[in-house]
Amino acid sequence: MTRGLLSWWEDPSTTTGIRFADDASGWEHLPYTDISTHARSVACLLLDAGLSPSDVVCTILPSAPSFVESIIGTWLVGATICPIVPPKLFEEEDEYVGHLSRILVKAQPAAVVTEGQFSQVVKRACAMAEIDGKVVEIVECDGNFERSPLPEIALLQFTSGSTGNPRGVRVTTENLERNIDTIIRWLHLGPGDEVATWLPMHHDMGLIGTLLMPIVSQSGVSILRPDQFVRNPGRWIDCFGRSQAVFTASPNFGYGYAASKVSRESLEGSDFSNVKAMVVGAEAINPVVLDSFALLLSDFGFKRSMIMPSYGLAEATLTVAGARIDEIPRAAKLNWSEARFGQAVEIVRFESLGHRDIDETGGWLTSSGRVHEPGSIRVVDADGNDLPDEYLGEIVVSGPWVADGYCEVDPVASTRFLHGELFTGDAGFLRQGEVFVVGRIADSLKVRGRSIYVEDLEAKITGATGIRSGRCTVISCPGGDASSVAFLVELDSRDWVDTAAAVLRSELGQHVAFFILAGPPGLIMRTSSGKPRRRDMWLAIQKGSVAAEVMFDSRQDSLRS
Amino acid sequence: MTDEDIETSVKALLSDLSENETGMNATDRLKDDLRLNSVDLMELVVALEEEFSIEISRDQTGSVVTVADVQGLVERLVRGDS
Repeated sequence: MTRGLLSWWEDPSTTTGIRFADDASGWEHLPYTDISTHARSVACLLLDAGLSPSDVVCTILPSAPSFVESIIGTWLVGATICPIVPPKLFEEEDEYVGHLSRILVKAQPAAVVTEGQFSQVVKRACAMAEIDGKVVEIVECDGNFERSPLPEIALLQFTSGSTGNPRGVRVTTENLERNIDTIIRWLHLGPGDEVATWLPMHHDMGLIGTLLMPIVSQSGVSILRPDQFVRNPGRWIDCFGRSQAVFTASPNFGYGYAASKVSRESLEGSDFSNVKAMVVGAEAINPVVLDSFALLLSDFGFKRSMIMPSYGLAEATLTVAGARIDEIPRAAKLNWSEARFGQAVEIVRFESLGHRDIDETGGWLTSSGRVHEPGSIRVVDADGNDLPDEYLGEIVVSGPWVADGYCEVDPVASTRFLHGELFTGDAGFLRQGEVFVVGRIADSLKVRGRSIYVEDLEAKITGATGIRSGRCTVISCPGGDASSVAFLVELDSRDWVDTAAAVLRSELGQHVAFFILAGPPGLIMRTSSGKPRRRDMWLAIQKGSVAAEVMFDSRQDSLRS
Repeated sequence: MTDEDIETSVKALLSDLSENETGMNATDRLKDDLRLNSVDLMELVVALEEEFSIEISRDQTGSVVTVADVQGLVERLVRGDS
């Protein structure tokens, strides 16, 4: 039977809880009994602030006990939680205030929960969003309290770049409960199976996979902040090798970072033989990086089958597919030069992780496993028609975890909710039931573990060149190792090309190719309201049907003017 | 430790993190020119704290944009000015 999000709340575990890493080398243990009590206090605070069931509560809190208690407290009063990342290192206050205010305008919260260190900046953003008087600072509260049923929409999860249009995904209570139950069954997690994580709590993988899942199952969880992980990734590794944790999740770069910083000598005496799953997802999965991590731990009982690649996205709550337990992850080597949307991919090799031929020469794509029951995955062409195995198309998913939709319909979003299915905006293919994800179609790409949104790139180029934003657009072109970016401009002049190329080179680095196309007005396809139809333009570029002059191609690194 | 020592050490740390082999200018921006991502920036703080025996809070990094800004912050913290 699926566990309820708060079914534990009235009778929390007296023996387990959450360990928060301190800034020395110790841990602060917070039992679930205390979390239950503190969450009640937050619920009282929200009711005092006039909150009603189904209202939205935004939280701007660090990865700390107050964040956890605010989520539970919000659900106790039947409201929707909307966690927002607090200001980051090296983030200018004005930039953050602008970003936060755009989210607040979309979320329209009845309360914005924060604490001292962020209070001023949050108040500035609220004023900009014209929702003054909604800020609630965390304090002890012991008033009257009557628990409400869980809201229909449990979570409002925002995704976007810093200058882009924030997009709020409406995740229902049922979505969350079903996806958490799926994770537990997929990984064969049982009572007492502990979790350790360094992921930020504000986004799907950290929030649902490594925080809510153990809370719902009342398992112990050890939490490092991301900066604590960066300072000493060995603390995360020790949770498995020298303590009781058996489950974690991380993007690819987390395993790579740990492998590059943790020495074999420091692991002497560790025992990883009880690890059940180290899930990897959220960005392209590099089999060479995974193998370097597995090799580091292999003398201490770690097996490659403990690494479990996964595929998912916030619009499907969290996870959609994953490798099977006890399976060694597999990778396919493609002939990328022949890969075209809607056509067959040429798989040159297919090997298990650890094979000597899987190396840095590239072209390898890691399998993200099979779809979780009772969901399904199909791959479609540009017209939505099903494609056969080993054909490159758009990944479409369905299942009880497909979210309710966005809080505001965006007609040009690459990810679309249509007739109960989720058109993910991810390009990929299926092979005998296993899904291979090639990359985002048109609107973002990953560079060194960082999401780069095309709207942010566009803003930087227009800022540097002076080209009006209505005359140009940026498109990402997925292709695994061969991913690239296109900058399209409706201009006759050429004096901006060098500057635009310098911005793209600076933003994308050496490993992502880009090209600049110029043509007459009408080159950029737009909706009736003037928004660029990036997905359609990418398909047109793939077909070679774009009438434009190539002004710059980074692969040749020369002007063709 | 002189300001020149700090400048040399800061630039060496930033070179390592940004894999920049062509030299850098004081006006280079950490994110836009050196392409440091959020993990790189956390690593930078850790490295600066260890190298100069200082503590850097998030608030103090909000106005740090360029290589020169990093040097300025370290100089102030080493001298105990902020």
